[in-house]
Amino acid sequence: MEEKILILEDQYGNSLENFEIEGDCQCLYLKADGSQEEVLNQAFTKGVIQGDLPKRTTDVTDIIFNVNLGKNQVYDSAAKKVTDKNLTTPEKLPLNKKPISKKERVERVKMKTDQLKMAVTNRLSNRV
Amino acid sequence: MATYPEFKSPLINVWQYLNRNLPYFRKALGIVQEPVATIGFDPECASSCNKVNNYTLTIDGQQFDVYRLQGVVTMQDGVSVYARVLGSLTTSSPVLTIVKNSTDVEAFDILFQTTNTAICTGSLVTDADPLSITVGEVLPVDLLFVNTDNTITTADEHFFYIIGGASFPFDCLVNVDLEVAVVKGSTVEYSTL
Repeated sequence: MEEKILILEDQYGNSLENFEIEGDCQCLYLKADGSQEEVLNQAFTKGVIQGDLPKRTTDVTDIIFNVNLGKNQVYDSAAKKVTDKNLTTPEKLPLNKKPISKKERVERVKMKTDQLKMAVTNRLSNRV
Repeated sequence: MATYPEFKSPLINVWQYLNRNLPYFRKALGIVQEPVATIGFDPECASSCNKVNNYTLTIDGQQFDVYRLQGVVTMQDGVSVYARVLGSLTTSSPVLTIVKNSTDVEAFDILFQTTNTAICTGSLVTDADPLSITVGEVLPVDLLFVNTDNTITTADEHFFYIIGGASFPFDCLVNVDLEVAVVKGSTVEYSTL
């Protein structure tokens, strides 16, 4: 058994301790084959979850927390943000966001833009 | 609650709404959400994306939410090939489809003045070749289209490009207006980088 403490933050890194909390926290282990196993479903207070989680096996690739914050808001740890519950569905998939720096992102977009310009130039010249 | 600037207090009496125009009422009541275009990575582009409220598409039994992407792209570098990135839409939806394209191409002609054509191969653009006898006149463009690309970062992030190409240097202004469908309930984030 391992202990997990979750400090809630919104997408800007602000603490959510002052949020009205009326629900519970659900914790899922995401496995390599894409399946999910619920390992925790309990009420919590003061924006901090403290509980025992079963030890992760080697096929567990990620942990997903779904936390009800009241007022129809849900904290999604996979997307690291608070979303409106009305916009989500039970089978909602987490966003596959990899940590990518702004600099690398800009470089990739620049490179792709140059590739596209080259492709258009070639396409037009091939036609003639 | 809306604030009346002259009184610095909330509007609680009917008389305080006198002499207000219709767009003000619609905004105050939350009937319309005015899109705010944001200039992005490319300073020649400004765009925004908002959910179309109370509009659900059903295609082959699957329900879709619809988002409206609007923006302005300036193509006035006097070159013959353009690739402008509007922004990116990240979604948890496995499907992202453009279901409507009302994008307009605006160009200036020394005789016709302003011309507006739908975006397509053959949209009218201004000839910007100073050595051409048709400089300043509108001519049909060879390629001009909306391009989505989700191979730049992750497969969830779809970049929107406006791409144009012709055998001559050209100028134009592209008023982008797209409707994008994603699976109902999907998380959507729009970023101008």
